[in-house]
Amino acid sequence: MMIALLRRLGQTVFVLFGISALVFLVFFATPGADPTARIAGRNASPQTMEKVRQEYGFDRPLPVQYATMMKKLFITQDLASYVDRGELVVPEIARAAPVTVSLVCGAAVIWVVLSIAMGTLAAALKGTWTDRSLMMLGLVGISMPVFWLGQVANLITQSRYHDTWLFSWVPGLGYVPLTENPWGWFKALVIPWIVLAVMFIGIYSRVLRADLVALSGEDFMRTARAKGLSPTRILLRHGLRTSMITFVSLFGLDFAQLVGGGALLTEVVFGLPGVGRLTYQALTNLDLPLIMATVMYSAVFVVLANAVVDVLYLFLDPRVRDAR
Amino acid sequence: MQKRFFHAGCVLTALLAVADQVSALHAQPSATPLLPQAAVHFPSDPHKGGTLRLAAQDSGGTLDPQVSYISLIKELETPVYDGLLAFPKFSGPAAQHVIADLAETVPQSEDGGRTYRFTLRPNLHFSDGQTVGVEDVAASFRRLFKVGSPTAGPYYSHIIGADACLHDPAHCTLAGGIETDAATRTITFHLTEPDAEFLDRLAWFHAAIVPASTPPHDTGNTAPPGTGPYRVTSYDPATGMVLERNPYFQEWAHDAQPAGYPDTMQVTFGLDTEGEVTAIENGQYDWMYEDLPLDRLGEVGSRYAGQVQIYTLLLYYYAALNVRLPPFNSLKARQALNYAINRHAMVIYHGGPAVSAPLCQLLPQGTPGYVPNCAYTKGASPAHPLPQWQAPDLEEARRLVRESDTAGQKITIVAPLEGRYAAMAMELRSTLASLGYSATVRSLTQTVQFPYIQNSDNHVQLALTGWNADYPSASSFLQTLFACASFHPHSDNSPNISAFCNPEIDALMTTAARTALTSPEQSEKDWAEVDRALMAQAPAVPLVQIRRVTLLSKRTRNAIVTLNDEILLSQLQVR
Amino acid sequence: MPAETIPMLPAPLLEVRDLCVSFPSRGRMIPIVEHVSFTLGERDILGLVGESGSGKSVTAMALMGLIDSPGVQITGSALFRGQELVGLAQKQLLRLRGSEIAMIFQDPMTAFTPVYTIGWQIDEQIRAHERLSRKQARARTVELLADMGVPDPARTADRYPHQLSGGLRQRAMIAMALSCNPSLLIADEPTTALDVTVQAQILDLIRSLRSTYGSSVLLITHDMGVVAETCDTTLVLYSGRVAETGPTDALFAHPGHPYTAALLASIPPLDGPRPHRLPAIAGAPPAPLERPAGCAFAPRCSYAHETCRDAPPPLVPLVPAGQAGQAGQAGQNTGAQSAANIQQQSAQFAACVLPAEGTLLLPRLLEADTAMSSPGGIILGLSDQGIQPMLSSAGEPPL
Repeated sequence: MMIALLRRLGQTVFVLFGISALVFLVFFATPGADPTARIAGRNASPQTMEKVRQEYGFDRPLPVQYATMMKKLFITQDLASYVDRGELVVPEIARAAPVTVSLVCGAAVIWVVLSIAMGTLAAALKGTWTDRSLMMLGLVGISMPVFWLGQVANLITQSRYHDTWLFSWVPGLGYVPLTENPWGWFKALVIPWIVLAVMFIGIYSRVLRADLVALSGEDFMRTARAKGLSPTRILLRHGLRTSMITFVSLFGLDFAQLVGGGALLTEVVFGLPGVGRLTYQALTNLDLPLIMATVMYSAVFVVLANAVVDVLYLFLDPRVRDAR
Repeated sequence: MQKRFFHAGCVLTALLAVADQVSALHAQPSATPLLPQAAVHFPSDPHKGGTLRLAAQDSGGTLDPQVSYISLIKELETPVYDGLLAFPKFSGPAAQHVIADLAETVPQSEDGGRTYRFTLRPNLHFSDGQTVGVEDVAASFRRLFKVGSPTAGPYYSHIIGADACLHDPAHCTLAGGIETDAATRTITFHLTEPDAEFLDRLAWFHAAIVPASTPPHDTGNTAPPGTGPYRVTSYDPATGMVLERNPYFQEWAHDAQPAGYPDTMQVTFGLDTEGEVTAIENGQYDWMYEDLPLDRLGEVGSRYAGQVQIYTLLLYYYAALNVRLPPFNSLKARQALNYAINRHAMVIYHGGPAVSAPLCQLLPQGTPGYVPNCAYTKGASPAHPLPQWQAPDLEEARRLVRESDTAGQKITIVAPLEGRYAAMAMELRSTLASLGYSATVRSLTQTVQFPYIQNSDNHVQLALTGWNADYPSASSFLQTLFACASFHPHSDNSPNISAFCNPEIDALMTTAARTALTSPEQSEKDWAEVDRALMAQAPAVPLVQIRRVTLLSKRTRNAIVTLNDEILLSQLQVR
Repeated sequence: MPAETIPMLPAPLLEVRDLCVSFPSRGRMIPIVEHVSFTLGERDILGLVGESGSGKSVTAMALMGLIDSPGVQITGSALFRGQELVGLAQKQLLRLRGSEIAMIFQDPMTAFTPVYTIGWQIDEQIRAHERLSRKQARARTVELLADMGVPDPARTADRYPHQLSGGLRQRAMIAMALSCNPSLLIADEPTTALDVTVQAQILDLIRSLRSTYGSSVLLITHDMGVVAETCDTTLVLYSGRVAETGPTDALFAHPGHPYTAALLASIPPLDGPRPHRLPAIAGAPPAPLERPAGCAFAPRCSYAHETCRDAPPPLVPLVPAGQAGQAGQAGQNTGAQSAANIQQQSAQFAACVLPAEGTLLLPRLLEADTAMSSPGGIILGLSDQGIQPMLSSAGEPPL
């Protein structure tokens, strides 16, 4: 147990090192990425540029800069942004994390419930028009870019129909902390939840349906039918339960990358100050410390999620328990 | 699309007429404030109070007034800090020259322009209660060098001792450059050579006076105490900023730093421009920092015309031609492009004639020395310019290309990715193609593109970019962009993107700058001459000068717009 | 002596007449199973033999209504205790399945749902058909497992399918199938996936079912040895059609169809000189679309001639001389069989023109056959009772 844990930890460190080095190298390989001119300001004199270069260590060799940045990020935790000088990136991310978690958790609840319902229904009514239209809906959901959908949602709820009874409850764009006003928090997040969930509902319902249909040809499903069980029971208790294994592993990874900042387009469109929007800003401004911090944050989540999914496998699939 | 903008243009032109009338009403001489909301009656003013809600897409970065070069922070901190001098806080032709702020009067220069003597007003306080003393003033100027302000070099290096400060900021003393006398409350500046713009530069944002105890490094998210009517009480670059009244403020010069109407100013970051427009329409915010997106101009112009503010900015877009690389090392090629480019198309890309104007010269309208003239249009030439741009002259352009023997060469246009630049870049590309060049567009994100095009190592032939002035001055365009001294090879910070260096024109510029000390009118004529001389050499292709279009909420009143400070946020009334 | 009255034949448990199963493909209906008829009485074991692709599983699945391919066509009649199974509504089939007719499958590993314990799955079947509490159902499960010879049944019930050995799994599967006391158990290749020693145990178990549970068994297999050991009656399927059917011992002793004979001949001899090559049947069964107009086996049959190729030969009875006597002898050893069954079973039918023409096939002589005689009273394969064989030396087929 201890050894497995240590091995996981080692893998995590290795992955984080690889990603951080890659981000660092890509940043410095990008033309015009040297932050000195941007930090010094437009038309700054050469002496000012030199001062900035020394102060930030841009004249040191790359490995030294990398090591310094890593030390500031993980050990002393005082890594500051290049753009918002004086803003420590780690607390900044810590403040943005609850927003992203709120957004992603709500969307996850919606997409899990709806995709299971849609996928199961489609598999149960395989071949009928219900099945076809549900899968078509799913395909439409996948095809709509989330930022477009978000802008359209804003257009409808904030602009065109804002004054009708349908949407007058929709508050202005932005985030209301849960601790401040739970009802406001909910109202502000409903539309973003739905917009973010749409694409995932499409993917997951289609995957689930395909899984269930493939499973229906399996031997154990045949046994279940031979046992005289009702089709509903067979679909839910035997089919759905078994396809949960793939579903959960997919979900775990998607959830992790979203919480790590993958929902950035949704956050930008709806003005939610989450980790995704921080990432977006960092990339627009080429703010290396913030890019590094957000990438690391996301990487940590993905690695964590992998571990959690592995543990979940143990619970979901008894064959894995003994194979270990 | 053109038709829509034409409609929007018509509406906005009418609007502009109204706006001009309104702003004319506010043009006041500094002595007698006619506005009923004078500071004297302040406590009982019915418009006083309320929270002004502002929206901006990105945070402004550092709050340090001596370091920040972001115009959002400048606009927000104008009512937070003061310098010795200030630009007048009212609009109109009388608002061109600096007036006294923390100093008692605007001094005349002595010693042939090398010495300026100021007297500090008494009984002024910072927002933390400290009294403002001459030592704070001297420390603030030393601090400019210690924190590495971007303008320390360009604007304040004429002060004696500045060179040493630039080389060794940590031990900056400015010995011999600033003398203070606490008893008489005087501060004396000694310059190495006359600087006609020194007074303007003392009114510039970076010359804000902060307490001597302010740490000698970029204060980042904390705003140092200031003397203005507001102070920054909270700042989170991800979410927002709050400014509240400075309890120690008492209005001493209404035209330099008027008391503010709102009790609180709340800035929210994070909404994108489309969201901001909708939110203001819904009354959730009062003002947005960004320009209106072009696709909302029609909607706003037709339904919210009364809430729109349009005003001139000293900002233009241009294409810098690298005069040291082919094909633009040939004068004829440069002139050809100037003839061929369709400036009307550029105007359309920026929203139509109501909100932008074709620019045919290197000084924008509103700058001292601006004399409308266009050398490169149909029926004109550098020797016989016309006052306005009419139409492109493709025949002349093609003739010049033939003579220059540069046809068929490859040109890469380096342009920013963002919105309007993309359209302009494509227009440039097709113009070059029609002249016989093989042109491609290379788009970089703006944050990267700006330093990239300045660095001579990148061999950029044609760079699409913009420039705006810090304060109204011809030299901040002509000298900064085209003087030999502005070209720093191998550096990301070389505003002379064209790498243009013409000793004769340089000499003209020096003369024009020096003349300003003795005869401002002659100086303006000289700058106009520099403008014409530069255009004859065509180191760049000026494209458009734009007006800023912002939307205010329904409840907001009293928008005062000055050339230097845009909308005075502290003067907006929400009650 | 009163006139011998023919004793009233009790209704057979399962009577299948002319069962045809066709699947649609590219616009046409392809017959997979054609005109299969057989009868299964109470407590009988019928062996359904054939190569892979002969349609044996399809027949069984069709009986249970488990074929759900769209457009499948099932015609004919299958009377289970007088109730017509073909065309029966799903709702009623659901009630029959598991409680009256149960099925066990070839691979017990994949036949169990991997995420639930054995006990849970058996409980599920019990509670699907009977109203029992969880505790009662579990008690019955444990009892069933014990009956099947599973050691430590209480703990085994809490195990997952992948944790048990093949033999245990198959026992559990049989336990699950029997949990509601079905009258008919269909076993689809129950021993194919098991090794030989376990095979023997499972076959013992299956054989014992008729006495312990009173169930009939329809045993589907491709293994002639299994059939020989276990089944009362055999039905040989070739390419979806019945090739031969009859009492196992008679069929093995005097195969009436060349295919059966060839199958028997390809069993390696247990004694005698070792053959250089195992005699295999040349060729392969035809694909359903390519079945010849006549006898399906004709292309591979060494006896094939003109009459074979016109039309599929009908099932004709075979009565070799000693059969009647055999029947009589068998009748004296009642065992668990009823007289009526013997009468029915004693008829051997072959879908071939040869019996009518009088050509006799070489019987297959197996010493092992003579040695095998189960206490149930079935006399298997006594070879030379009144047949005019052209016997060669033991084990050598003349073909």
